[in-house]
Amino acid sequence: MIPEDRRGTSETLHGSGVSLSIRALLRRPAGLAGILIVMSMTILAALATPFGEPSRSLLTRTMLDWGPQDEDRTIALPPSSPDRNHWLGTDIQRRDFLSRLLHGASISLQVGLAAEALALTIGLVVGALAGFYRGWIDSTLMRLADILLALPLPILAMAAIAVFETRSITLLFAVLGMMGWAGIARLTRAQCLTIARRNYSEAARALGASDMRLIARHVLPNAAAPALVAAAVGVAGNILTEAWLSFLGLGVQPPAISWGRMIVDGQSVLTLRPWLCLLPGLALGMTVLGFVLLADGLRDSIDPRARMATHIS
Amino acid sequence: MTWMRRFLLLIVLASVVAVGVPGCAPAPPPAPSTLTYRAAEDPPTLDPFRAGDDNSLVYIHLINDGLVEYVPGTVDVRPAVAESWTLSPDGLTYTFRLRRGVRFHNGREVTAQDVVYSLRRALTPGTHSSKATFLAMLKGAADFSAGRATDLPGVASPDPATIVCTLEYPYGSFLTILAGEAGSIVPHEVYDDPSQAYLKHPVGCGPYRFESWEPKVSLALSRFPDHWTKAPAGGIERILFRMIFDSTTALEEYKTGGVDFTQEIPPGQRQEVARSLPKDLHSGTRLSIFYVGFNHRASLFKDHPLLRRALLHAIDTEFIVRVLDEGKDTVASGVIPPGLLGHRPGGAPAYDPDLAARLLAEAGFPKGRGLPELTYVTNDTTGFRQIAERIQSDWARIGVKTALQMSDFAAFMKALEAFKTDTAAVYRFTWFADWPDPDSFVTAQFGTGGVGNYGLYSSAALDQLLDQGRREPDPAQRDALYRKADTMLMEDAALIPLYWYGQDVLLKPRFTGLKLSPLGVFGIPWEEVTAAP
Amino acid sequence: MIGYVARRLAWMLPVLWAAASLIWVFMFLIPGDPARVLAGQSADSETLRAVRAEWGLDRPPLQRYAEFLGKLARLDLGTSYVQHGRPVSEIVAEGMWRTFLLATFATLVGTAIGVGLGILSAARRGTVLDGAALAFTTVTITLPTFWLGLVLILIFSSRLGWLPVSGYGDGGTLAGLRLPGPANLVLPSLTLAIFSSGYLARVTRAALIEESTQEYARAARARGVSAAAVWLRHVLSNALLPIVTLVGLSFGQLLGGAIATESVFDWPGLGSVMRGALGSRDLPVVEGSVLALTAGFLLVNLAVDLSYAVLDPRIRD
Repeated sequence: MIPEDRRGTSETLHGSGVSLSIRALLRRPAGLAGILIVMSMTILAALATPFGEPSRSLLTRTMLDWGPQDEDRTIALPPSSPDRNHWLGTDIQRRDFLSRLLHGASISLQVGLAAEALALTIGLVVGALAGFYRGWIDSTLMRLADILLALPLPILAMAAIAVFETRSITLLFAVLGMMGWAGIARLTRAQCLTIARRNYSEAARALGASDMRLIARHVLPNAAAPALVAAAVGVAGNILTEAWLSFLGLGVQPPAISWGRMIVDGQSVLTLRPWLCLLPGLALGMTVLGFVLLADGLRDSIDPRARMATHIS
Repeated sequence: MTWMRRFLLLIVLASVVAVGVPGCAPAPPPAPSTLTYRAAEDPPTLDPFRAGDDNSLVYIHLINDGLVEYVPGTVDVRPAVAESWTLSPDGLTYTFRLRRGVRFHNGREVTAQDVVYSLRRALTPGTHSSKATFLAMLKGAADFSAGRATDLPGVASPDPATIVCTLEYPYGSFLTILAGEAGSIVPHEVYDDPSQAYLKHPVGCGPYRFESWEPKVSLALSRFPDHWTKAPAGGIERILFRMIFDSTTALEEYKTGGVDFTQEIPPGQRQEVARSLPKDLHSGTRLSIFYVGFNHRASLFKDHPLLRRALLHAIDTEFIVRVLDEGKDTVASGVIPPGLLGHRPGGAPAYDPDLAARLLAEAGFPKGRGLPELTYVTNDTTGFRQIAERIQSDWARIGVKTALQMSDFAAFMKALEAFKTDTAAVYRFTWFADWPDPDSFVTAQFGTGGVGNYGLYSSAALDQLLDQGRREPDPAQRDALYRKADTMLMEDAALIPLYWYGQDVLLKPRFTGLKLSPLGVFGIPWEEVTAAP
Repeated sequence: MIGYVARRLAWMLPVLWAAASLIWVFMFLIPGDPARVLAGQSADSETLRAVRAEWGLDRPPLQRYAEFLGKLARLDLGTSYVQHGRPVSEIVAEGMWRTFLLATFATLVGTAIGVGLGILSAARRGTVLDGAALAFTTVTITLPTFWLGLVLILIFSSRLGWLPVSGYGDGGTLAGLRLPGPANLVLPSLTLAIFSSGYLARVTRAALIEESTQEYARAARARGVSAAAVWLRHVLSNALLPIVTLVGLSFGQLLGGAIATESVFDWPGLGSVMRGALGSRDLPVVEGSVLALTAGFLLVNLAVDLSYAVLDPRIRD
């Protein structure tokens, strides 16, 4: 579906450059669904992030009877079935399960978004530099990216985290971010190569604009579109990787709540209370789905000239 | 579209075949006289003089025999490789008469020299043996294991059928030490072999001999036909150990018949298992404690005993035991468990959050202000993780922030060794009695320089008391001394005892004659269990 | 083509070297003392010193690195710290072939399901069938693999009792290697296969649709060639390239992604070996497993690249 109104548009020196049509995105059911899911999850995550002294989230302070760490001492036999007080029952430690399920969104989204933001930043900068300057800068940076892409990164990430024994969330951001920048750099570079060749940038250079200015105001905004698509997919991947790491015991530590960890906790009562294991998995799937749909929608609504580049990843 | 349809059909058929055919061939069931035993993982070692963990000891106790052994289900000893013994009136000299016709798995007959060799080996400096402290009461042991002497006067064999053990001081529980792995009798030709084949293919004189080991998959032991005991009719001919790491998977395997015996019920399932498998469940107690220890070198803990007491009173131990462990264990009111001399019955749980808050304020940290974040070191097994989260939550209530440091078991043990002077760290710990005596329980953990004393607690008064207790021959006196030691430890808040272990095992009802040992699952005498077809 | 192949092979070496060095640096930086792992926790300083000398732990870092590279060139991965003298290459090979077996089965099943679904939805584009297939593929790529494994265990082992819960089983021996029980292979392979089949179905469908709209396909139809012949002979063979890529890549992914699945099913593959070695600080085994998995991953990618030379005539020149 090539948007008819975009064909033949010539870029100008002062054009916005972002060849994403927001209207086109919203018109497609996939993109619309994606945006809705992502937005709801982000709002939920924001509400579920603890702050203040003592550290409780907005959700706990205002809407929930039970915080994610409060145990209900009236329960005789944990884990309990759903009832009036606990709509999804309680877990092994007699904590309200619904509350914990909602709060898991916070870590997943924090890790997913922050790590990808890091990957995006590094990837855009590296790709722009490589595509703009070419020559030995290009080959060195791209060799580095190729090596990273050739390695099985989840395994190395696992070894890295297991080795450095602290389990801070910052380490997670860093490791996942390092895993993601290479693909984005390749995409950005491909875009920059084509764009930098275009007439307008030569014209701008003739007018005396500095390299940095060119990169920042003309090259990058045009190159960003496919990178954003890759970033959306990257967030989905980060969320699943975080769950995988938490499952293996290498993710965030309590009192932070992670859906991956909840799956492990629920594993011991899988046959008795299957929802303790099943629901966090579904929550993960839902969140990941949102970002995947968003990526699909973004991909379909960007300029076809830029669309070719997305198939490299 | 027939091409299309045919092609698609082909694909569908291919997938069905790929998935379906493997699923149709059933595995042959094991023989009725085989016990399929769920082991959590591969044993770290099969050397009786180096093993100290629950896992390795299971195999070691089946493969090896000593001069004496435990009466099943109790802590009394009876003759084994020795057919009788006498004790001198001063309690220092044990004279053992060797049974005739006892053989090693390689066919050779056991002689008194083998017994001497084995006991010496436990004390020889170069063998990396961890049992040297167990046998420290033998005459000359201290010099021998320090390398200062090449003679061990405490162990001698005046004739090929007699072994004489002489002690430095009378020690009532000496025989129980010989009944454990430290008293294993091993053949010198195998253990002196430089290729160290015994590590992968151990040889002993016990009721079962090593058959095969497929790491991460299984280990098999089979009945030794030339053992000095006769197998009961319908006895277990073969024990097949299957390595199943996850306890939930193990329970499922048990229910579907994949294993006949498992000893770890996953958290949250105990009530259900007790209800649905009443004939399979066997419960007992164990001479073992779970506690939270302090890094006593950290100035925070060394200089603030009130802080330690506050932390002790802040933990709801009853909740942990009743809810998390579902009543399997007993709340610990002291250190020494019931069944040992020195146990103080009738203690009350210490949970009192108001008292904890008051003590915290008195210690100089009202509501936790000014207190740095504590680190709680634990390994990552589900049950221990739940306990860690509960303690973190309980302490958060009085204002104490805790960071959890969770890792695998080996990394956990490393972390314990590496406590720096000022790390405000606490750690979870399990200790089980190596032999049924308070000396094995308390000295190693709280005596200065004890092998289990990772918190590096040191009290001269306590050391003196423990030394007295060790050498005191009168049991009533010992009881009083160890009670005093226990009281001293609790008043000084040297540790936060949580519970004394119970044990739960599941065994298919067609096996009869199971007797649980207070020492642990490794004490189960499988050679006396019979299997109905 | 020779040039292409030679270039791809030559590219492998620096990547392998980079991976090996990265891994070695990690292992070197691990806090803690490997000598304690070897000698036991309560060893005294004399023993520790002897152990260090015996294992070469007291030599300077650059020398150790050089030795490491030298041994690697001879495929000598060292000896295990924990499994008393067992060579790491033996441990790794044992785990590797079991994971390889699992990954192969999973790829076969996944390809069958994925390509089959892809063809189906491309042929019936726009219908309910296509929509259902799309829903299935979306669901399978958004759910975590290890969770899927747990669900399958819940349904097929606990509730229905058709398949064993976990483990390797016993399928007899072949050339000295112990084979898994056939029934034990089903659930783990299926778990891994479901995930890769989703991606495969999507790519197959997209590639087939794109190819079928090409000029040559429409021209063939116009010439009167039957739809089925067009599909099979022209469309499918041209769409093979991206499909093969993904099959190869997913096999590579399976090698690594099997870690969590092996944990869920207690499958004693390389993932389990690596986890166990990480836990017991058996550094040579960790090094060896990561290297093996990386090499496997690279080799699969190389095979995919080389297959381009066969499949894509443009590259042959």
